[in-house]
Amino acid sequence: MDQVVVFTILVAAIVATGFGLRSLALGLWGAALLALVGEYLFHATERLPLAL
Amino acid sequence: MLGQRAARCANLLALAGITAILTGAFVVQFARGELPCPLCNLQRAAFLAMAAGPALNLAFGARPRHYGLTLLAAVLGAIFSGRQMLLHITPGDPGYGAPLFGVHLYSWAFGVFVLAIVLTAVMLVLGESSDVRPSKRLARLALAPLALLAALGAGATLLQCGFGLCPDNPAHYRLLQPAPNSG
Repeated sequence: MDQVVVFTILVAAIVATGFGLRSLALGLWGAALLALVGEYLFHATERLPLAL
Repeated sequence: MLGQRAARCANLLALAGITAILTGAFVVQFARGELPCPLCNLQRAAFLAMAAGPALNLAFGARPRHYGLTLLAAVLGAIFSGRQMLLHITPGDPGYGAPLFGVHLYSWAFGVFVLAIVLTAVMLVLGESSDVRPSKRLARLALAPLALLAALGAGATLLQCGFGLCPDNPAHYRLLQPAPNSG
């Protein structure tokens, strides 16, 4: 579910860029990067490995 | 020096490359039945995030901060794919998923992320000569397939992971098929 949120932010960023909403687009692209970092750190601290 | 037309082509090519890579990833997922692990999904998302620079350049003209976003996404992607390579580096480890031309997809991805870092740095070095005349229409045309792929990523991840955490070694789509011990 958490990764669905990351993809959804990216969809919103792409759509905002396409519609010419520069400030919103920049914010959403930045939010996507922050979500990627958070998601990676979240999974990297899980006790299970990310891939077998 | 690059010139506006060549810079526009370079940005379009970058978006086309990202679209092709993600299309390939979904072909592997749906045609070959290989479900992506959480790190695989993060790499897909990093590829999508790398589109920030070229997309913003096409829509609003080139700016250093646009390239900066792409650089950050490429560095993150290299970290994700590098970590996955290290997880499978021990001798005898078969790796995750089937290899393509003898190399696993995450190893290919690492190479592409590093290449993206170098190419983005080159565009930054070229500076004002790599400016792009903005065209919202062109940006929309180039971004439409990427938006569809990102939405497909969201939908496929929801089907695969359901409303919980994505499993480290996915075997089936949770929303389509109940877990074996759930009756």
